[in-house]
Amino acid sequence: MISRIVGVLILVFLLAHSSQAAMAGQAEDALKTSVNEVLDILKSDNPGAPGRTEKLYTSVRKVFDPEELARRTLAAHWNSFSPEERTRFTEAFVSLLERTYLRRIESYTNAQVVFLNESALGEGHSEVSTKIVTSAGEVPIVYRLIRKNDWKVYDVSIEGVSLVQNYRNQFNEILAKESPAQLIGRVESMGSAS
Amino acid sequence: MSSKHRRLVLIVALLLSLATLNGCVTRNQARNEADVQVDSGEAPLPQIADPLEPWNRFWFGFNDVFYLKVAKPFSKVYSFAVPNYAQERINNAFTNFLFPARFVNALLQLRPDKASRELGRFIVNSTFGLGGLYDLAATKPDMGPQELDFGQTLGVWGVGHGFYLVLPLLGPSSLRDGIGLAADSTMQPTTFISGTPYVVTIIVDGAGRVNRIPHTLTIYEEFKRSAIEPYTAARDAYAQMRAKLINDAVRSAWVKTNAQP
Repeated sequence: MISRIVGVLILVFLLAHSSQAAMAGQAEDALKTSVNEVLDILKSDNPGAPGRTEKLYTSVRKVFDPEELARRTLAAHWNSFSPEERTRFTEAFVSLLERTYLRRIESYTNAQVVFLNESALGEGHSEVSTKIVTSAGEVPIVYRLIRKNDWKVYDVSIEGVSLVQNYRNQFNEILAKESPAQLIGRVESMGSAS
Repeated sequence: MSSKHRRLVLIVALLLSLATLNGCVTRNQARNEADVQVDSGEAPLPQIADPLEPWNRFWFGFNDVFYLKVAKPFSKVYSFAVPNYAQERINNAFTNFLFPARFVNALLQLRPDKASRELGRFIVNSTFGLGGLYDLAATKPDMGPQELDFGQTLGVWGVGHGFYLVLPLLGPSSLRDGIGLAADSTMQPTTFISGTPYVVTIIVDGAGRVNRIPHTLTIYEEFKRSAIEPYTAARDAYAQMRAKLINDAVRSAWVKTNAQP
């Protein structure tokens, strides 16, 4: 009797353990696919090669969840945005991020990405720690992913600075004084500048 | 000697006042965190009190003009005169020169492992690395540069920021980290080698900082391109970066301190 209970317990433990391990790998795998694509493009196409930037955009977009990112940066304000405003905001915000961060990615040559570990952040959320190693040094980057149909990135922390939190503070301050339309206007003009 | 004593007394007094400040800031933080809704799958948010906001905004604006009108043209000339390779050598040597502060802070954080890594780096780089021009130690795994400063040490022992402080030319800091900066600068070798005129310290320190301007400027310009409300963005980024630095140190601590990880 006792041996059967022990057996069941071991089985349950093994199952729980393996399913968790399998889940834990998934987010990292999704991220790895996208990161490796980006690294391949950086290696095979020289800066300024035709279509290089578009290829990078496509690879990065695959693993990001723009709406999740936009919703989280707006936090409680998201509810006061109309559906059209949400769409416009998401588009403008994503194009701002693409412009600033792809500029950084494009400047990396001979970059290596090291995957350090993955830890679960509650139900359906996961955190993958990586570091980019370049000749200039190491940059720790942590990705937060959410499981929808696939695992999608909704936040990136560079050197400990969470993108979502940083923009949330900025948008909070702006929305205390200005309307959603004004905020969207500012984000749009930043995204198209330079 | 007596002036050194007075300095020590001053630092201790400031620390005590900080410790009391810490209490009220923690209360402030609680309020701020309630304002910002925390979604599922998000880490708790590091915040920093900013009672001197108008003053800080003034210096933030001042620094912005300085970076773009003075540092930027200067950086172009400097990078032309001193190529990248030489900049790296100077930066390595300057980092090596600041070894005592990192070593002492590792000890103050009760981290003999970090201290011995610093000592090892210093010995290897000072000898085979030609006085620190080459960071040879960093080619070995787990022998790369470490971030250790007195503001971090205070944080590890549970001292809060106090409040946010934008320093002229130096940029974002806090009461705690500003004191840390001052304490670290007294640990430059030229200040305690007797007979060295004070001006030498200023020149070495100035040269080391000036050499970093091109690098700092690149980061600053990238930051400006991405920020919609730069003042808020810089303040939050500073709070988050410092929190990570201290949390990492607390998490890997050998001896439990009263700081919350």
